[in-house]
Amino acid sequence: MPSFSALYIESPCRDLPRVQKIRQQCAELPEVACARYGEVFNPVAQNFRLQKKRPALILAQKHQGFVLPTPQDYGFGKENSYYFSHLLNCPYDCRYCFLQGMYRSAHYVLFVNYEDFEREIEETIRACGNAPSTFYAGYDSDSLALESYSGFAEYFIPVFQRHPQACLELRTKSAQIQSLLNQEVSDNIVIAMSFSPDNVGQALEHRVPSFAKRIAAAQKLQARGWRIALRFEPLIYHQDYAQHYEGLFKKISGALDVERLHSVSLGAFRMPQSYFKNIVKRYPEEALFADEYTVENGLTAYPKKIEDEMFSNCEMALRRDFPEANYYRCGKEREACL
Amino acid sequence: MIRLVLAFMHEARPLIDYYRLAKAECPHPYPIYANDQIKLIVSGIGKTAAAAAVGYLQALGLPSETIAWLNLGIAGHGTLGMGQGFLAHRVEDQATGRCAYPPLVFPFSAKTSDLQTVDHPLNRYEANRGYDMEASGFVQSALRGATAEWVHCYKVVSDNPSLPLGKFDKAGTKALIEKRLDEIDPLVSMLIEQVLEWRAVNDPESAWDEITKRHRFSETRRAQLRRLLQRWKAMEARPILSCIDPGAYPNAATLLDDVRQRLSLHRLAF
Repeated sequence: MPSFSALYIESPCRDLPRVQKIRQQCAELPEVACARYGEVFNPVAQNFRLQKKRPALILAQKHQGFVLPTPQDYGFGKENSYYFSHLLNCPYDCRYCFLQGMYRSAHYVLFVNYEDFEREIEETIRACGNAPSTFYAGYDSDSLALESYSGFAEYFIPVFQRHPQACLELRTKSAQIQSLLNQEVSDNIVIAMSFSPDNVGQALEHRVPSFAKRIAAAQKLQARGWRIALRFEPLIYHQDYAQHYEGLFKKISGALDVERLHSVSLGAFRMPQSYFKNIVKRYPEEALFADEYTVENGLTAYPKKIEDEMFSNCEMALRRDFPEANYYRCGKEREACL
Repeated sequence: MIRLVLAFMHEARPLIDYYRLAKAECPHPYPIYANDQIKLIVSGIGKTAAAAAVGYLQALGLPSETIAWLNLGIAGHGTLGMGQGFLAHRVEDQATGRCAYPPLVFPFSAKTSDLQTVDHPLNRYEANRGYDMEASGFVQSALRGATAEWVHCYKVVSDNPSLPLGKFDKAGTKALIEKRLDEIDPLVSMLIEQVLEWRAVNDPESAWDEITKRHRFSETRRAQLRRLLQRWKAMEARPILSCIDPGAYPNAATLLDDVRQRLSLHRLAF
């Protein structure tokens, strides 16, 4: 459970019931009023790395852009792919994540006007007619990590249950699954869980629940009938990586019913160059960023030769343990993924 | 490592004594007291004076140095009792409406509160709000050289609705600050500790001086060297000077090429 340093509340949403509930949960914290969340979140003179030690929770209202089209090649949906972000920043501290370089502040911004998101999601679904559509909820944060405060899944799962032609992907490294276990299972909700080999996780995924806890959560959800997807993104190049990923695939395929998985994906390490530069400035001593990278189309990535070698080895290993039919490569073309 | 900014000598005196700060010998336009870790300046009353004093200390220091800033002093408060201390979690300039939000990322134990900086002393108090005359000027000026995490205001309540502002009492002011040294000292120590921790990670690699004194580096090459030294530290267990002899290279370019080459052979291992 994250421990917040303070609770900032945009004055206009102070009395909303969702905000009242969080205020009660955070009664011990300093409560600070602000006019707009940007006053706290956007100033230039901030230190992301220091804030990441003990971020604050900012409760705010979003005013526009509730639902946005995903970048090309993102995710499994072929057409009509969208994302929406109720939360900015993530309670986990994964060094390779583009969120480490995206914002100036490490505070969490929780947009509490879910009803506006719901309205725009439903309008988008209607605009797609009878065609299937996919909505990704884990783009700017972890979908479930702050669930005990946000009640996000609890609110949005019923929204998608009313629209079976639309698929919702919740992407998470969390083991907090109670709100899913409390709800009726739906075929159009996908719980996408991200995993890395143990050594990578220990070195780079700080504050993430242990592999054992997360795989146990995945097993429980699968046993309950939820559709689980596996995300091995980003692949991290390191000594003996092929063996480590192979070991990971074996461990997971032994723990889950692979035939019932919704999808399995691999993704390359890549992020906009400006974010990468920010991360290097923030974590100059991090060995991951001391490696060799190339910049192409404004994206920082491993050199193509290394990336190709990793995909080739990892895809081969993956095929041995998982059905090929539900595999896809995230950002298959070496073009803008973000 | 830490700069303390106070409006009055009576507020500063308990800190000067407690930290055994010595008066700066060379003449300055402000009274300045210091030891190895602390520099204290007495700014005079008001936000403009506070901003100017911060600017003066900034000009005396190195621009790249990480420093914590703390504005200490007395304040009115709408709710807190006389003698209670608080850290500002929001600093508002009453005249402009401009607000700053000092992030509470360090393990502070003091109570926190809103703080409004006013241009003239007030006898009106709103609940849960402190009143002073320096903080907004101090914060805006300090933020020119530091990020918000390093800039804080700690105030001791000198007047409130039950005991409204009266005539300025020098001895009383000194006593109020003295009585809150139990909160001020841990705050100062903690900020110093955080600065030291931050500098340990972010200060230039120790080999920097040894290498840069051997060859002439252009600004671009200095930036390249800085990053290569960071990469070396991140990837190699051995110090760079145990692997290369800076004097053995004919110039900066060949030294940089060799370090780059050595790093390219390294493979990340977890």
